Amino acid sequence: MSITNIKQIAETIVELSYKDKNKEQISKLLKDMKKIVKLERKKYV
Amino acid sequence: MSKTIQESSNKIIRLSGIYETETIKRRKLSHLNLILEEIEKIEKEVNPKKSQINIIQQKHLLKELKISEHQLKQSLKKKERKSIHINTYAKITNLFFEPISEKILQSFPFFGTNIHKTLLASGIKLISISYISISLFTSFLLLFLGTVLGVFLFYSYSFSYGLISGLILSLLSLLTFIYYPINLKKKRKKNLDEEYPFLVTHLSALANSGLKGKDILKPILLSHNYKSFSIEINRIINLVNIFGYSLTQALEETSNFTPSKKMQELLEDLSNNIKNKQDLKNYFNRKSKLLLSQYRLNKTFLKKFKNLFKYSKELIFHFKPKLGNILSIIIGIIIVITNFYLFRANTILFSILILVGVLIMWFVPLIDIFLSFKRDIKLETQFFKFTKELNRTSILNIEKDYKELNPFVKKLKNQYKLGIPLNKALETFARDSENRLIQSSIHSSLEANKFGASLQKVLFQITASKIMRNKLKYE
Repeated sequence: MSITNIKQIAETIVELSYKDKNKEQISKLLKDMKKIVKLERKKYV
Repeated sequence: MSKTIQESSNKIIRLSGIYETETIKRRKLSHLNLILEEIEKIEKEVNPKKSQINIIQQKHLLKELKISEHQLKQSLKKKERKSIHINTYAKITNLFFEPISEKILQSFPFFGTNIHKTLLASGIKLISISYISISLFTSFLLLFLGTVLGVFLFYSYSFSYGLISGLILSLLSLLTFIYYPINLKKKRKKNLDEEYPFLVTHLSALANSGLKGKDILKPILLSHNYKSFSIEINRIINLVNIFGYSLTQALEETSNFTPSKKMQELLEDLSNNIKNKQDLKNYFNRKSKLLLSQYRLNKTFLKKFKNLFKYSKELIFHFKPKLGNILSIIIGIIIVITNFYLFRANTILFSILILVGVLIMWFVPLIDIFLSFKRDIKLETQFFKFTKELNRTSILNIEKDYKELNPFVKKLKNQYKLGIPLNKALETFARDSENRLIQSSIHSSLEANKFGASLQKVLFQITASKIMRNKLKYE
C-alpha cells in the first residue's frame, strides 16, 4: 500500500458518497486510508 | 452529507498529487497532516457522535471512571494550540540557502543525522536544514562585510588584505556554528549529570504523592532547579500529545537524543517500568536513596565550593537592588571619578580613596545579598515545618510558631477562612514570600494537584526533596 492508493480510495469514496446506504463501506475505506497516511507520516517524523 | 464528503475527497486527491511531486520532507509532512484532517472531516460526516445520556447514566459513568464532573469538563475543554514561534532570521536564510542545505543533507546523510542529533541534544530549537542555512548565510554575509571592512582598513597596503580578512571572518563564523551546538551539548550533559540525583528524588516525591505516567513529568517544568531537563520533558509531552506516540515510545525516542548517559538510562528504565506495569513509586524511592547516598560519599570540599559559587552567582543575578544599594553604588562611582581628577598626584591618598570607593560600591549590596540569603534559609526551614504540619492536619488547626513565616501563614489562614480555595491562597503565599524555593515548590505542587495528587501531600514531598537537595549541595 502506498500514497497512490489514497487517490484511488478517495475516488471510490466520491463514487460511494452518492448513496446513503454506503456509509459503512465509506467508513471502512476511511480507516484504511488513515492507516496508510499514518504509516507514511512515520517516515518523516 | 454527500457534498462535504465529495469536497473533502477531492481535496485529498489534490493533496496526494502535490505530495507525490513534493521533494522537501517538511512540506511532505504538512501535506500528510492536511490529508489526515480531511479524513477526519469525512469521518465526522459519516459517523456523527451519539453521546446523549441522561443525568443518572452520567453520574454512574463518572463513578465508574472515578473522576469528578469538574475534571470531565476540564478535559473536554478545547485545548488551545500554541502558536509555534518562527525564527525570522531562519526564515530569511532559508529563502536563499534552503535548496543548498537540502542538497548538503542529501549528499552527506551521515552529516545530516549527526547534526540533527547534536541540535536535539543541545536544546537549540531549530531543524537541521534551517541551522545549516543560517550558518551558510551568516558566513556568506560576513565574507562580504569582512571584505568591505578590510578594504577600508587596509586600503593603504593592499586590497588583497581585505579579501583575506573577509575569508577569515567567514571561516571563523562557520567554525563557531560548528562548535556552538557541540559546546551547548556538553554544558547540558554536565548540568543534567549534576542534577540527576536530585531530579530522581523530586520524581520520587511526585510518585509518592500518587502521580502516574506522563503526569509525573509535567510538574518538573515549573521547578527552577531542573531547567536543563525541561527540554526532554517538553519533547516527551509533544510526542505524546501532538504526534500520538505512546508514553513508552516517547520515552525511548527521547532517550536517544539526551546528551547525558545517566538520563538516558533513567528514561529507558522508566519506559521499561511502565511497559511491565511495575510500581514507579518503589523504583524511584529505591533509586533516589541509592543516588543520594552515592552523592554523599562522593561529596568533596571542591564540589561544595563550586556549588556555593554557582548559588551565589544565582543570588546576585536574581537580586533586586533597593534604593540604598543604588545610592551606595552611585556614591562609590562618584568617589572613584573625583579621585581620578583631584588626587591623581598623591599616590597614597589616591589608592586609599580608590579602595574606599570600591568598598562603598560593593559593601552595602553585598551585605544586603547576605542578609537576604540568611532570610531565605530561615524562611525555607520554617516552610518545610509548615508543610509537614499541613500534611498532618487541617490548615485551620495549625497553631505553631513559624517565626519569619508567621505573617504569610496568618494571611493564608485568613484567606482560607474567608472561603478562598487553598490553591488560590497558596499562590498568594508564594508571591508574598518572594522566595524561589517556596515559589517553585508551590507551583509544582499546584500543577501536580491538577493531575489528581493530594495538594498537602505533594507540597510536603516536593519541599522535602528540595530542602534535601540544598542541604546536600551547600552544607
